[in-house]
Amino acid sequence: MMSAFFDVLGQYLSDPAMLGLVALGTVLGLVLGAVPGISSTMALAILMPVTFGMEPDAAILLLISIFMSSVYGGSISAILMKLPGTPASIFTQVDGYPMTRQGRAGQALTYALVASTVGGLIGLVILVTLAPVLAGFARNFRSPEFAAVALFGIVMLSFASNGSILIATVVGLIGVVLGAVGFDSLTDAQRLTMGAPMLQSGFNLIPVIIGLFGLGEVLQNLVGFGRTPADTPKIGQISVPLRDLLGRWKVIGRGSLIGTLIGAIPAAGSAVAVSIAYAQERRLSKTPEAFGTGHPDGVVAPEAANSASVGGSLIPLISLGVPGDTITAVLMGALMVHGLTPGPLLFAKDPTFVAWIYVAVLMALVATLVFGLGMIRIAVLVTRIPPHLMYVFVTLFCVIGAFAIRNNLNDIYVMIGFGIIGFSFAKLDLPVTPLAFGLILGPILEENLRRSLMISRGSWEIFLQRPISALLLLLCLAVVVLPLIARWKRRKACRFRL
Amino acid sequence: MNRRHLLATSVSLACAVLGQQALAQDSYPSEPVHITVVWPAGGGHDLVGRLLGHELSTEMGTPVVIDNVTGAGGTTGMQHVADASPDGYTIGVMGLHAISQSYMNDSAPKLDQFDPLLFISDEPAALEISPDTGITTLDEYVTAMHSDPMSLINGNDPQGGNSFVFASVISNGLGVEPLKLPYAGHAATVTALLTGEVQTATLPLSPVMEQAKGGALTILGVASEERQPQLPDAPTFKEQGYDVVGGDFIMVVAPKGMDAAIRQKLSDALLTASQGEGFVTSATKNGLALRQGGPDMAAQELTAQENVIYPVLLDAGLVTETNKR
Repeated sequence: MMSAFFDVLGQYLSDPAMLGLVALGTVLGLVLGAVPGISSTMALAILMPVTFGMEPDAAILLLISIFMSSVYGGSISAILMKLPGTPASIFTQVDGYPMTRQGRAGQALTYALVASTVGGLIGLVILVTLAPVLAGFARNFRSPEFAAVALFGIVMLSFASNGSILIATVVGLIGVVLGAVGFDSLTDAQRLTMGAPMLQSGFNLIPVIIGLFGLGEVLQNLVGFGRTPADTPKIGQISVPLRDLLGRWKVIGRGSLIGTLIGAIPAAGSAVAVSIAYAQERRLSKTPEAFGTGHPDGVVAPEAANSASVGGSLIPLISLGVPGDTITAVLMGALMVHGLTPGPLLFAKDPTFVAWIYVAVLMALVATLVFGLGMIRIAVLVTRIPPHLMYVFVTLFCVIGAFAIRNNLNDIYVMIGFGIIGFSFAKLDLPVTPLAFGLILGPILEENLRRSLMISRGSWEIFLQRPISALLLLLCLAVVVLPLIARWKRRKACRFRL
Repeated sequence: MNRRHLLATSVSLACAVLGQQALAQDSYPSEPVHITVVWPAGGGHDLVGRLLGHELSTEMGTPVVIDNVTGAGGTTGMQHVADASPDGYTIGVMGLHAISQSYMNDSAPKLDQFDPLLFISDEPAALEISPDTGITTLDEYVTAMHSDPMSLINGNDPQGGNSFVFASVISNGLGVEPLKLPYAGHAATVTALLTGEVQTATLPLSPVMEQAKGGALTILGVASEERQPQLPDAPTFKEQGYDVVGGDFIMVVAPKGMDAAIRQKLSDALLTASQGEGFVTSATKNGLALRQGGPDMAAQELTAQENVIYPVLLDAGLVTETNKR
C-alpha cells in the first residue's frame, strides 16, 4: 500500500497537468464553498459532468480537490458574514463571527485554515494507517449505538453555550421537536404538518441555519440602524503569531481525533463531529465563558474536527462500499461513472485506486492551504463593505442560498421564519445553536431509538446489553452528574466555612 | 396615449405573442432544459439524470440543468414537474416512488398529470442475505422462516419506498412474513446488512453489486424473468420455482399538455441520448439494466407497474380513502 502511495505521489508531482488540476479544483472548491447556499455536496454535483471525459485518476484528483477545499470554503462565509453554508460550519461561526466584528477576521480565517489543514492531515494519516481497524470499529455501530451517540451529542450541547444549561436544554428540545415535522422517517406518516403540503418535507437544515444565523443577525443589526449605524470593523492583522498557533496543538489534536472517529461511523457525519468537538473544548477550557465571544479555540476545534471527519467518512466508503454521508455519496456516484466502485474488494483488487484517493486528499489539503492563505487577503476585503450594503448582500445570499439547496420556494419562507426566530431568541437572550443541533440530532436519535426498540421488541435493555452503547450512556450520565456532584461539594465546603 | 395607440399596441403585442408561439416550435429548444431529480445529488436517479443530461445537451445543442427538488419522499419534486409549464423545458426523472406516493399521500400529484416520454431501465427486486446466517439457497431461507419467522429480520425502506414494496412482493411470493425493519435510504440498509443488524434485505442490485461480488452478501433471488447480465451468477426466483417478478424502473416524464411538435422533438432527442454510447457505457457500468423505449412503451410500462403496486399498497393499508379504486 505504502509503495503504491509514494509511486502515485511522485507521478502526480512530476506531472504539470495533474498539478494544474489540483489548483483548478481547489480554487473552484474554495470559491463555490464560500458562496452561501452552495454546499460541498452541490459543488461536487455541479462539477461532476466536467470529469466525464477525463481519465479516472485525473477525475478523482479534481473531484477530491473540489471536495476538500469546499469544506474550508464553507467556513469563509460563516466567519465573515455569519452565514454557515453547511451544518458543519455552524460552530465555526459562533466564535469566528465575533472575531470578525472585533477586526480579527483575517486571524479567524487563518486559524480556521491551519486547523482545517492539520485536522485533514491527521484524518488522512489515520485513514491510511488504521482504515481496516476503524472499519471494524464502525461495524460495531448499529441502531442502539447511533441512538446513544446522538444522545451524547445532545447532552454535550447543553454545555456548548454560555448561560443556563437548563435553557440550552429546553431550546435544544424545541429543535428536536421541530426535527420531527414532516414525513416520519420510519413509517412515512405525516407529523406536525397541519395538513400543509409545504411542511411535508420537513425543515431542511440549510434554510434553517441560514435564517437563524444569517438573517437573524441582519435583523438584529437593523434595529436602531437609522440612529446609530454600525461601524465597519477594521481588517486588522491577517497573520497569526506562530506561537499562538503552536500553543493550540492540543485543541487541534483532540478536534481531529473526535472528527476522524465520528466521521468513520456511517451516517453520523461531520455536523455531529463538530458539535461534540466544540462542546468538549469548551468543557475543558479554563475560560469557558470566553467561548462565543471570539475565542480562537472555538474556531480551531470545530474546523479541525470538520476537516478530519473527511478522512473518517472515507473509511466506510473505501472499506464497506457504503457512503457515510451525502458528500461521499456524490463522490461515490462520480467514481462509479468512471467504473470504479468502492467496496470490500477494493484493497485487494485495486490498491492503485485507493492510492489515487489518498494522494488526492493529501495534495488537495496542501493546495487548500496555499490557495486559502492567498484567498484570505481578498476575502477579508468583504468586511470593508459598508454595513448598509453588506446587509443587503447577506439578505440576498440568504434568499438564494435557501432556495438553491433543493430548488424549493417554500424553503425561502422557512428561512425567513427562522430568521425571525433567531432575532427573537437574540432579543430574549436565548442561545440559538442548541436549536439547530436539536434539529440535526433529534431525527437521528428518534429513528435509531425506535428501530432499536423494534429489534428488541420493546425492551429497553438492548441499550445496556451492547457494550458500546452502554459505555456511551454511561458517558452521558457522567457528563450530567459530575458537575452536579462538584457543585454539591462546593456548597458543602461553603457551609463548613460558614 | 389615445385609443388608436392602444389598439396598435395590443395588436402588435398579440402578434408578438402569436409569433413567439409559432416560433417556439421551430426554435425549440432556445433555452436550457431542466431535468428535475426528486432525490438528492449522489443517488441512482441523480446519476441517471446527470448522465442523460450530458448526452441530451449535445443531442439538442442546448444546456441541460439538473435540479434536485427533494423532500417528502419524492413528492415535492414530482409536484414541481406537474406544476411546470408544459413547454418542453421541464422534465423529470421518476420511478416507483411516484406511484406509491400518488396513492399514499393525498397532496401528491396523480399519475395522470404526467406524460411519460422515455423508459430507461428496469430495476428488478432482489433478496440478499448475510453469509453469517449460513444460508445459501432460497429453499433454506424459506424453511428457516417457516420454522421461526422472527429469526431473520429484513432491512428495507420506510413504507412506500421501493425496497419496502419489494419486501412485500417477495414475502407474498415466498409465503413468508419477516419483520420489516425500516431504514432511511439504500446506503443505510446495506450498512445494516453488513454490520449484521438485519440478516436479509430486499434492495435492488445496483447498491449491493460490489458487496455481492466480494462475497460480503449472498443474493438468494432476483425478481426478473431472466438473469441480469451485470450479475450472471445471481439466480432468479423463477428458476428456483417461485413466481416472483417485479421491481422498480426509471423513466422520464413531462407535465401533461405539451405541444405535439415539441413533444415529438423532445422524446426523440431523449431516446437518442439514452441510446448514445456514452450513456450506455456509464449506465451499464453502474449496474443499470437498460431497456430504452419511447413514449408509447413508457406509458404502457407505467400502467403495468401501477397494476402491480396498487394491490401491495392496499394490502399494507397504505392507500388513503380518497385514492381507493
